[in-house]
Amino acid sequence: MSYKSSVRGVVLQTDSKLDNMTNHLGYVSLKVEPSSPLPIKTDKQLIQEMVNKLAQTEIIPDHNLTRRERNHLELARALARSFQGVGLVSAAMIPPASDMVIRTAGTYEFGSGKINIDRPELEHASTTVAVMDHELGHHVAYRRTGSTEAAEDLTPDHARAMEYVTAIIVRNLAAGKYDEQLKDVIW
Amino acid sequence: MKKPRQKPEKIPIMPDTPQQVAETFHSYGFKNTLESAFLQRIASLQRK
Repeated sequence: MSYKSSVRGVVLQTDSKLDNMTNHLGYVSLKVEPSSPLPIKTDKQLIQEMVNKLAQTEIIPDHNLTRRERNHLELARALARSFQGVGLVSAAMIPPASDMVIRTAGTYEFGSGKINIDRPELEHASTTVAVMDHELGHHVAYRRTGSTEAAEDLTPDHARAMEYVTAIIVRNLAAGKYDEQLKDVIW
Repeated sequence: MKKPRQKPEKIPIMPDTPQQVAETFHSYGFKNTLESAFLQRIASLQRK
């Protein structure tokens, strides 16, 4: 199962701190001397493009969702309530974050703690839970470290935070805290 | 005089592709843990 193109783009590196995000967007950073300009965009331009693309995200009001999607969104919101400081959790139509990725499954906004879930992920509870576990991992890692870099994908802090998120969800699940939302889900 | 600490430039939004979600979710065994926990709970609710 592959969602991301196997071909990766190249950008000029202006700041090595942006390498993780560049990689996240399906690109690799190339460090070249300023005296050898290449007709390719920089990492900063790539990230600005991402910001512009994500600005076109359309939040889908609950009443425009199918019953099934709404049930899964309610489960996502119940999971989010288990953690302090999470912002609004919404269904959305999220554009691909770069031309090297095919879809964006979800977004986490570091300042506000808002989580958007791309509509197709709400088709099944299993994908909804996977996105929430992942995004809540960013949230917990960010709250623990105060660093966006430390809270990025596959960092030790993100992995530890996902472990914590998983443990809390399993504990609450066993205590029946999500039973109301689980009545009508399709795994 | 103490200089004010410069805030690092922040990237406000982390967009995740389905592949990135799957990679993290599978890598550390979270999928198995959550899937079996949810399926057990859903099955026990359906028996009630």
